[in-house]
Amino acid sequence: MKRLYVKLITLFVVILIWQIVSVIINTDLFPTPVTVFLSLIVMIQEGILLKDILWSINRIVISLFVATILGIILGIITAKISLAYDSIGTILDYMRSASPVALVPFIILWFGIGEFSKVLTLTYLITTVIWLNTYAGIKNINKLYVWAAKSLGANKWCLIRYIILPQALPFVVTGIRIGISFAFIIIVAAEMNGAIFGLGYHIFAYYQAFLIDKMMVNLIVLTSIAYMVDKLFLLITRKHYKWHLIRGEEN
Amino acid sequence: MKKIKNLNIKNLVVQFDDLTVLDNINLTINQGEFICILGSSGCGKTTLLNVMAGFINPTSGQVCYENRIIKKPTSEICTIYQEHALFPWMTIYENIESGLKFSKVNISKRKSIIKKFLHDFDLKGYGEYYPHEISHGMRQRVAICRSLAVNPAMILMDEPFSSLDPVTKLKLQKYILNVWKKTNKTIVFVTHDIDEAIFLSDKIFVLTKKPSTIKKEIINPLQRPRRDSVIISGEYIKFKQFLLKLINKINSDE
Ligand SMILES: Nc1ncnc2c1ncn2[C@@H]1O[C@H](COP(=O)(O)OP(=O)(O)O)[C@@H](O)[C@H]1O
Ligand SMILES: [Mg+2]
Repeated sequence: MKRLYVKLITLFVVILIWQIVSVIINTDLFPTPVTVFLSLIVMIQEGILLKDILWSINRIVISLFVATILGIILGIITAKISLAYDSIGTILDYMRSASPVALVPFIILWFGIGEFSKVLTLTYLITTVIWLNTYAGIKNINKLYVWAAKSLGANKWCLIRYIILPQALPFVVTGIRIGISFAFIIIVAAEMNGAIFGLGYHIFAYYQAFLIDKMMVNLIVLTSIAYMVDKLFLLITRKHYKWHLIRGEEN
Repeated sequence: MKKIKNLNIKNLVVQFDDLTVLDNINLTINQGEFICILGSSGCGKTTLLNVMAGFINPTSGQVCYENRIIKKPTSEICTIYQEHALFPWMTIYENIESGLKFSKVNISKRKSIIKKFLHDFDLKGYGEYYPHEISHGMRQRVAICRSLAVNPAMILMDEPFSSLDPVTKLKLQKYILNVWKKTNKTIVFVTHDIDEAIFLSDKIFVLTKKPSTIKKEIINPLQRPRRDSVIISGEYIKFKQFLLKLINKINSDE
């Protein structure tokens, strides 16, 4: 409870400083929090903000869904088959370092500016993150558990389903969490070059129209959603692998 | 004539790179025997068990079970390790259930088997707990249940009670003797504790230092059933002195 108060007070102080600084500077380039808040109300009323949110979230959810499945499957394959790691793994490892921002123009040149390109940009990035974490999780598995399961008669499928995945789960979950953060960061770049709606797209549209307050609204809304989703995700997943946290505390 | 299932080890050598751990081991274990393998720490006891279980392939020589060479793990031989025995992400119930699930036993049958085990091993009411929430002794009991549930012919135990306090240890030793008496399973029990070996075994294999081989195969002279007070009997003390002398000799050999 006390910590919650500290957080709220921190938020209040930040807004206060923002208000004071922007009043002193007094320029359109740095609107006050009050101005930004009023724009927020207007944008909600116009309905544009909600559409932006829905479009962006939609892209993120689709990408996360595809990337999670792909990342986990690739993680299992590369961790279990060394030939796969040396081939596919090397490609993924290399791709992981390629800046998605720099890839956007290429993707647009090759696949156009439609939805597919945006989802592809996000999916590629998130897949590499989830792949890497799944791979590390599986490599980190305690051999004794696998042996114990084998001596209880587990076949390959049982090992993956009941022994390997549950042990790798905390890593996979971390991968998904990082993936979510990345998705909210990269969505802006993915939408930069045009869309109908999208929080990121409109940041650039407002920028060209010099609507700084609206730009700020979009940025704050995007960041806030990312923050809340992250916390919500943590809350939901935490109780599913309590054993892992407890073992970590013991060590 | 009733067919006797036995485990046969012939000229077994295990090396890790340049390190020879097991050097020419020969032994036979018959169905229903309670065997203890006694050896000091680091002499290769765990390695020997892992070869019997099919987890490590011998450098040379062979391990046969019922005249078949063991190359990979089989569900007829089940291993219980000292630590990491239970799957920490599963509840006690799920741990015992795991082997039954692997062998596709249907759910209602699983339920009744587990219920009986929880009852027989004084674990009633603990089914929904996670391993980290129960005591060490309880955990080892669950590990024993989990192996018994898949009904193996042979159970290999690697120093399963070595980190328990003396009272819990004695209690668990009695549990395992009870299980053994009731089920006629073969038990191979690795330990570095002389008293434990004397209290439990029919037969003791004493290992030398690394590269280790079998120094001696000894029939345990103590009658069964053995009561707690057996440890102060003359026969027990004489046997223990004999073993101590043997082990001292092993330790002083260069
Ligand atoms: N996988 C392995 N690779 C290399 N050396 C090993 C391996 N497993 C065990 N050893 C070595 O073999 C020896 C015997 O080990 P172990 O069988 O665990 O002994 P014990 O169980 O009797 O304490 C030790 O010196 C250990 O370092
Ligand atoms: Mg050992």
